[in-house]
Amino acid sequence: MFAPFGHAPLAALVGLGATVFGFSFAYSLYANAEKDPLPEKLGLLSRAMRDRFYFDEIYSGLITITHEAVSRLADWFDRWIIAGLGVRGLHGSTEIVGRALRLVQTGNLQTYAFLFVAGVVLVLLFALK
Amino acid sequence: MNTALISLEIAVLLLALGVLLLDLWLPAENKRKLGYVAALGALGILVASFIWLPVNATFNLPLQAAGQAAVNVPVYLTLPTLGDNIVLDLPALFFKRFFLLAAVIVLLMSAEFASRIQSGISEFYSLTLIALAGMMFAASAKDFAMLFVSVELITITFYILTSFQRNRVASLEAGVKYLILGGLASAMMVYGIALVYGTSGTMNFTELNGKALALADKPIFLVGLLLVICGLAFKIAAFPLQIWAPDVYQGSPAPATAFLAVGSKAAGLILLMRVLFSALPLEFVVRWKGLLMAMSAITILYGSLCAIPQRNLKRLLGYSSIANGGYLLLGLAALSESGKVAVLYYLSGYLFTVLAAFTVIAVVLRATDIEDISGLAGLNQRSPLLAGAMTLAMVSLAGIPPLAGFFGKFLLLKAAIDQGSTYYWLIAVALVGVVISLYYYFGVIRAIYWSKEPADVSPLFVSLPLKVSLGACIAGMLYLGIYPAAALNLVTVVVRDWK
Amino acid sequence: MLTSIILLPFLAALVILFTPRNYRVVFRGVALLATLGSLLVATKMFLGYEAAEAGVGGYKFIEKAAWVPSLGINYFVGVDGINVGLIFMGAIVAFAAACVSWEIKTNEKLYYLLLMVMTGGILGAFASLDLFFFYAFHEFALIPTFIMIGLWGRGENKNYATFNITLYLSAGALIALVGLIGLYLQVPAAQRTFDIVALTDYFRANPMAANVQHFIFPLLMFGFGILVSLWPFHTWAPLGYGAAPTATAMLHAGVLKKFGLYGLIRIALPLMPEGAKDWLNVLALLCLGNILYCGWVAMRQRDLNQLIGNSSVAHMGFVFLGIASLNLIGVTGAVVVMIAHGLLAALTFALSGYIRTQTNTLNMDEMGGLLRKLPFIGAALVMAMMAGCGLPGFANFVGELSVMFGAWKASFGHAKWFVVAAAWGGLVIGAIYMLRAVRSVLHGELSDKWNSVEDAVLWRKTPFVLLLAALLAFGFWPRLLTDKIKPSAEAIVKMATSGKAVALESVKR
Repeated sequence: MFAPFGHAPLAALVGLGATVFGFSFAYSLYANAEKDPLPEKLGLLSRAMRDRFYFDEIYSGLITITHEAVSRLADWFDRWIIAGLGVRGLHGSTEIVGRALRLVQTGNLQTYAFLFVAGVVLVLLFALK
Repeated sequence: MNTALISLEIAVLLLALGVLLLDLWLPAENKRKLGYVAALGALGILVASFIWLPVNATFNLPLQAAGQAAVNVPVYLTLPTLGDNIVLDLPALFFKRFFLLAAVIVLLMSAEFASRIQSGISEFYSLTLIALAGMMFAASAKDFAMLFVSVELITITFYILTSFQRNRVASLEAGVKYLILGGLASAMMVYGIALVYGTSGTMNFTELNGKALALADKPIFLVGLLLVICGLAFKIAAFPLQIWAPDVYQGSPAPATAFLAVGSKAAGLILLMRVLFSALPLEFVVRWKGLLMAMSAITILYGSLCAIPQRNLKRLLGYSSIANGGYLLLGLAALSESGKVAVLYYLSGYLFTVLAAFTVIAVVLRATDIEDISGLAGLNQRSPLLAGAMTLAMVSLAGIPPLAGFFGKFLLLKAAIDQGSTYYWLIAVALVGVVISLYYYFGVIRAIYWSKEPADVSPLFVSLPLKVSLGACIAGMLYLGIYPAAALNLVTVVVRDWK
Repeated sequence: MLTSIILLPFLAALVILFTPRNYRVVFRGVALLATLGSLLVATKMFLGYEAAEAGVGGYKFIEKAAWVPSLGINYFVGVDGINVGLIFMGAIVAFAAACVSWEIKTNEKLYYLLLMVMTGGILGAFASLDLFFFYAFHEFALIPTFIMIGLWGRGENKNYATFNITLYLSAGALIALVGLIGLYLQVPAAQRTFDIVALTDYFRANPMAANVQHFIFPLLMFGFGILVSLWPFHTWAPLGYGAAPTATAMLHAGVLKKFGLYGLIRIALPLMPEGAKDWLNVLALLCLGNILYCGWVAMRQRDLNQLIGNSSVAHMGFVFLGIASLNLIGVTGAVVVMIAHGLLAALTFALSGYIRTQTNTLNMDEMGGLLRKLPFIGAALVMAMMAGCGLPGFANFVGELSVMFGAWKASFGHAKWFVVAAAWGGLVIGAIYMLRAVRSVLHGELSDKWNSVEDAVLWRKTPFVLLLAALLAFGFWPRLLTDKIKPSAEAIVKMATSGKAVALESVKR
């Protein structure tokens, strides 16, 4: 139980001293006190102490600056570039090509006959070139 | 002259005449039922083709993987040829039976559809049978004369069949379009035949096969052959002559469309295969590998892309038929035995699939008169059988296991990949086509099961013969998809007997 | 044994098909019985795995029948350490999915029919040792997925989601199919077979030419990658899962999605070491897209299902990283993550599905304080979220840690930075969105409109308890999995890394 004193007497004594000091300091402040006297005496520092020195806010702010920002960017990219431009774009352009091609299919017999002959000429040109 | 070679065709023609004769004595209200007689007759001829053409031999095929039991496959001996323009090899027999089966289902469909045909239903049956005879002749054609005659026999009967609903303007329009554009295609073809005959001095495929290489640098000869190929592309509904299909499919009576989609297309295909693989040596055809690939790719893309915004069911299937023509050409473009096997297998699955779809369409049309996809709304409640058959047909057309369409596409892809890197771009095009086609096939399924509009949910009546034919189509799709071994062996044997 | 696991759901589908439409209890009962039966047989197989006798290629519980001899297609099922756990996990999820299907009230006949077909297809895909069946079973399971999303799906995006997922996944599957056929055609015609064991043996003796490997490997990597939502091919996943009915999302996100990963491990790595060498660097880069990018995207989601969907995509990155590290501990970790994530995804989707049936919304801004009304569901959600950020005690921790160990030792460039990124993505970003979700759904003020919300009754707790128990069991006794996985993973890693020298030699020849 007293081993720490054997190993590192200085550290152990400082620790013990700090504890005793803390206890007596707290006693002097809070014994018989109606309300917390610290805000009057320390002002800003006491508020910082109450708010855990704003560590939570710092973390939260860091996340907002970094991850939230990146996250917004990633979400935007996902929504508009990959799912939008990529997937919907491919889908939409295929559909437009389909609709455009269907215009060839006029129902007009003369057009069909023309396309027939044009197609055959194309085949002949391709095969005989 | 050995008339035994064409006895199946003679039987079909006699049946057609018999139907016309019976029509004279039958009271009007019973004429519809002649369709069942015609179907039964065709079925009888189909069965007879198995009994009458005897099994002469079996031999072991080197088909099985190493270490597995040998497969014995019955083989029909090839009979001698008739005046050297008719051949009855296994491919011919395969296609004849294919056409007979298709005709049986189409005739049953017609009998159901009769109420929507103003008059002359017996002639409709009879003409269907005559078209069937034309297709069966095409399966055996061994020279250009026979090729032309059989094509014309098919095309001219279809001029009438497509415009048979005289009271519908759309049907008449379809007939006129088919007549004029078909005439144009025939004209090109006969001109091509003339050029080939003029340069080579022969109409016969076997003789031409020996002469073709020597003529390979004569442009006139090449132009002649190309015109013939284009003329046949009309029948397959492939580029460059594919544009007629959607209009004609949409306007024609449903049974005629079905027969056009299956029978006429297959007839064009066997003739094209005869020209490419019987009339010409492989060393000659190789020069047109690029042409066939381009035709296949354009046809696939055209059919798939145009179908996207389509709402009319028959027109949609017209575009789908174009796309499927492209897949079949892909098998031909592979220029290999496995390519031919894939084509025949794909076509067999296509028969059951498309006929199932058109049977459903015919029943729905009879009841609702709505050709739009939305006419299928609530079909699931109205008739689970029809909904199930249509769903399976669409899934099979989309090429998804375990249905026939998947195995067919699988074989086609395999044949193309096997040909090496020159085919990779075509494979990519085919994949794009398949993915696009999923979009519109699933659109049909969606209409059946989850359309928003309040659907008419009165039950649809499906007669027993139709139930049987739908059942046969479903069984065919499943059998060819789930257990392909036997059919694949059969098709392989057929292709190996190519004359 | 494996055949009965696969066949039970299919038989159930047949029974349902021929049962008249108004026998609703029968559909549910048959589905529950069939999945429970599959689960029991799978449990028996999982527990008896060590003792079972090994057959061809070290696989156990082999069953084989010739199917299409002329093409070398066989019905061939069997398990090794890698897929035994996956099948067990799949059976657990399938049963849980059948349990949560009580939320379906319309057209139940078709629903249970499709559910059974999907289950059978999934289990079949993971049991198959034949490439053809492997592929066909997967496709077969996809069709019900699409139809179920279309028919019983939710949300205004339903139609778009259905077509999106249909076309996307079919495209991926087709690309993979071309790769698989290409692989098959690399064998001389006389020996061609789809038998994975025979193919492995063949390519061990005669490695494929390096240029062919460089061509086929990416086909498989991207084809399978699309199926697993590899970045940037991932947008179908949150969209589809957001719209899917609960059971479909559970089965797809939990099990079917692992098909692509399984294919990479089972086929691509061992058969194409030369292709793997180069392309895995690319995979390692892309997987950061999953881990970091999709994590960030998940942070922005206000819809619980979208959040879970994105986080599920993010978790896939760990599996890719494990595969890319290509060493024993990395691949083993990848398989553990696959199993753990399967259970976790099923659990989270089941929970969000339960919450949705109670609140009719998954918008987290509208929720809050639900823990008071839903003590059980809420507690389970907290545990699931904790498992999602890799808390020790859950199976996910074991897997993710192993993957990081594996990546640390991996040979691709800057491997250690990848580990840092992965840890950051998994632990920090994961913690941010998971804990925020817990806060906004469960804590805070309880709105009056949730007064009617009820917690799960005893029997409805079954699926949640089952999934949580499995997660904890594998978390506390990871050797249940790793002892099975390691020998099989070792064989694969050995083939994938030692093939190099031989392959180069064969090119010179």
